[in-house]
Amino acid sequence: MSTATTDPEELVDFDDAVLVAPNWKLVWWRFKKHRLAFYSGFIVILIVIIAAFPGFFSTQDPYESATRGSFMPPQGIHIWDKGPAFYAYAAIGKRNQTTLKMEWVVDEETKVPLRLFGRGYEWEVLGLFKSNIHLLALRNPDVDKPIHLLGTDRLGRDQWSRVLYGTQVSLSIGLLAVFLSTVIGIFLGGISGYFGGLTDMIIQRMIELLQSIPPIPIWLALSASLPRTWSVTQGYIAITAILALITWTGLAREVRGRFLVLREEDFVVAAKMSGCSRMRIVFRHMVPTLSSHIIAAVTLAIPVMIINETFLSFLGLGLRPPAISWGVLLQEAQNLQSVALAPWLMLPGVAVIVTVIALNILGDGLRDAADPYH
Amino acid sequence: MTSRLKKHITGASSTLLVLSVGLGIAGPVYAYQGAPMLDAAVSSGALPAVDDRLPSEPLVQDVTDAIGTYGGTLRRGFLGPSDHNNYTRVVYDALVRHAPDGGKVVPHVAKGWTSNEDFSQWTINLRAGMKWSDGAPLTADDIMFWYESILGNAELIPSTPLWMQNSDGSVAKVEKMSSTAVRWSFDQPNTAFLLALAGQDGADKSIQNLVFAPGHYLKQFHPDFTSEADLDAKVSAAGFDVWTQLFSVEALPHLSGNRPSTAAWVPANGSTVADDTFVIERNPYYFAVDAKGNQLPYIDNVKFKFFADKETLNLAAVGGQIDMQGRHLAMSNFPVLMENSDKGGYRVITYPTFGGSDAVIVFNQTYTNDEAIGDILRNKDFRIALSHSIDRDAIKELAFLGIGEARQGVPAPFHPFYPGDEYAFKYTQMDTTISNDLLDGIGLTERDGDGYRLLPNGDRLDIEISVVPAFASWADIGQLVVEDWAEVGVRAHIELRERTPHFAMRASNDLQVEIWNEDTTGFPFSGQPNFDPRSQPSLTLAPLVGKYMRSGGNEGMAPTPELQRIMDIIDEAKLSGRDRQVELAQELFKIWADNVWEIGTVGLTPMVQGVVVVNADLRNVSEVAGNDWPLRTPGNTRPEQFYYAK
Repeated sequence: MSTATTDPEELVDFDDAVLVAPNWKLVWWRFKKHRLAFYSGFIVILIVIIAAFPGFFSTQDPYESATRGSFMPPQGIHIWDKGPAFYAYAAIGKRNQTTLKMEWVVDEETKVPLRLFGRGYEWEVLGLFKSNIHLLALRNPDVDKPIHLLGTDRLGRDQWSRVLYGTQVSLSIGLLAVFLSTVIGIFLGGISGYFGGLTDMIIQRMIELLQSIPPIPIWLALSASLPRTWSVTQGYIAITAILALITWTGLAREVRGRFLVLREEDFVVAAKMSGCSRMRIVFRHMVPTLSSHIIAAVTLAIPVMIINETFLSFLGLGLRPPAISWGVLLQEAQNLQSVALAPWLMLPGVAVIVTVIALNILGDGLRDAADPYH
Repeated sequence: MTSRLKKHITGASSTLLVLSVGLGIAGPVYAYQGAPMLDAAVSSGALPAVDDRLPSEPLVQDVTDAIGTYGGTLRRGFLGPSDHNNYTRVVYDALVRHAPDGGKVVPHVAKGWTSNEDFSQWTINLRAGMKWSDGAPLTADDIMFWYESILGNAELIPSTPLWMQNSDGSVAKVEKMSSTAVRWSFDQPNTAFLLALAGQDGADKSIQNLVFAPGHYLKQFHPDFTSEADLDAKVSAAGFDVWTQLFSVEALPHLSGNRPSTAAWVPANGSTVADDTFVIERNPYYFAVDAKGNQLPYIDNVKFKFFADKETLNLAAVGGQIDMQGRHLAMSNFPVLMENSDKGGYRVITYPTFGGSDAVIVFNQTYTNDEAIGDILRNKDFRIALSHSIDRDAIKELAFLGIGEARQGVPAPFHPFYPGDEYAFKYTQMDTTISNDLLDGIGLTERDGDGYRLLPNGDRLDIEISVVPAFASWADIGQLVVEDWAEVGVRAHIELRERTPHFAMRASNDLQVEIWNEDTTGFPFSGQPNFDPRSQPSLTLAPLVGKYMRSGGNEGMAPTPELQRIMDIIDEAKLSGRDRQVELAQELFKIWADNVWEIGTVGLTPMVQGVVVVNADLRNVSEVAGNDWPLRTPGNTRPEQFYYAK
């Protein structure tokens, strides 16, 4: 493999373990040294778990509105009341008759007892079966009003639950779109680089064409042309496809460049001599040598996709209500009353920032680690 | 001139005369006072003196609180060329106007009117010596120019507007009686004539809504007065294809920028609504004075600043950058506006609407793009079921800040046209059992996997609700309604559209359902009432019926007996005395509420352009005023007599 190109004298200082370790182990060791990336990895895993089971972590149906519950500020959870306890204070909302503003007062007389792993509304586990167990739930759901960890929006919907469900949509759109664009990028980049000639010409000109058009107007045009009768799911898939169809070109270029170098390598020539089919050579022998590089590129592409989805939805062109994504949540907070009276509605922005930074640092670490021999 | 001067010297100006003599001030003495802004032009001779600019009998305009002082700029915000009515509402430039409370019609450009015994003939009297903003005389010829060359030109106005029709559909006769008098003759009594006239101010960017026009300016754009070659050159120079397009632009001051008008402020230096800041400045020939003989307006100019979206406009209002405006201010921002009023240097007043409902769901009765959907929209039980499924209490709390009442689109209880509680609250009780029973009863029994009802032909029922997010939080209301309907198995979705495509789809009969407000309830018999399918523009009630009526039954769709009755009522009311009009109006609103072509949600709130920010220093702004589109609020509150205290 690529060890062939490394100067053997450099290897002298390495431990024996290093000399015999497989590639993935080298990558892992190198990655562990990158502390920031390592911890970012944990954050990303946590976010992925939330994205997989938002219902478990949320406290209320994210679509449920409350007639007299708009703009409630975030509620705190208390764990000490002359001894260990687990409760929140009830909040009382009253409309100010002069300014017509909903004003909330914490009622320290009334405690709302909470419990872990309690019962609440019914949610679907990965679309397979239903459950009503939640990480945090009311102890007396029949008596007490729901608590709102991040407050409520103008329709009295629970912001905490909406952010969690938004995580699922935004993250999965990022993952799916990147997956799609990676597949297209590797496939087209691979055949372009391997075959060369006319195939290469056509694919490269296509890439240039796509890259020469600024992506934002294409996204806007494509999203605007989606039929409005489509359901949330259809719209979700369409947005994913739109994001993917424009972003594969960068990766395709990189893969092609690598292939142009690789196809003259000994192991490729050897495979050719052994009578392997062209497709087998490309996808069985050549692509795996790029895998670490691809993983790094992919990790760095996900946050870009998340940002893309967020801004499209923020502009009202991506997902639209009743779909919930970070972009949709931010779009709904894009008005005077939210900014002035309910700043907690901006919190989905924090979710975007944390996720994007974590993924970027992780991708950075992976890229550094991806070529452990350098 | 001297005799005229003597005749019209007012008490105030004689005092001034005495004073100025007493102080030994030399120079000419006038019966009226003009704005200092124009002094330089007058002394240089570029502009005649104020007495010569005013008609011999100027309109003596009442002031709301006090005689004002000159100067200042009124700042407003607008959303670009499609927001042309922002201008219309400020100037309200019509022959006659609605009074501030909307209770009666008052003289404006016209000095007055007379009618014959049976109200079939109306004579409008103009002001002698009245001038357009460029100084050209305004006479009966300017009404005749409109009648003969605009209304009478089939290319410009293909079908006669309703208010100008005789009972047989022919055009009413308009004759010049003298240089200041014009007579309208209908072949039947027309008691709604003045109300109709009060709406002919060039609103809605439509030359349909004119009734007098500056012939001396517009003749250069009209083929009857200009050679074809000249006109063609002008049309292509302006980038148009046909002369009617150019004429339609030049006929309206805010589109033309140069067209003389009689409004208190006229476009400055060719400014139009297409500009980033649309500036209108004092009309030196404005025909009104206050009781002390000061020529109005008090304020020098009005600046409409372009805002790309409503939110930044609202933010500007909170920041005190808007001097007097209710348009585009969201009622949901009321708390923010109130909390920042001291800091922003403004006060907030509210003008609740006259009645109706501030968010109604209008069902297109002539939808034909999809036969099955069209049939279901025409089904009365379907509409009743949907009305019963709506949680109006939630809408009131979440979208109307807890004020207003759940009601159908009928006038307010204090209005003589009120049809009674039974109709105002008909079908407004939330009861999903009634809804489900009715929906099952009309054959919507099959459901898909998600629990949504299927159409009788097996297709998915999915109703599109078109919403223009420009006014009020109709998108939120739509979302709540969609959720309520889902509870009874009716799938619907919101489609947000800009004003222009939405209006185009209304006209082309492509909307299924829209959300709008039920204004015009106080004026069902004049202007373009929402209840009349023949109105132009109308809501999406029944566009093909409008087409049918206009084409004499050749195109479109024949009205149902109920809609026919509505039109008959409107036609009869125009010929009837007040008592009969009240009877007819009540009948109209009973039919209206009973048929729920429009589902009312919550009404009697200041939601639609009724939360008004007023500069703390601005005076003479009415604290209470009628708020409705026919009144051109705030035009009916006489912006020309607003003034700044400092």
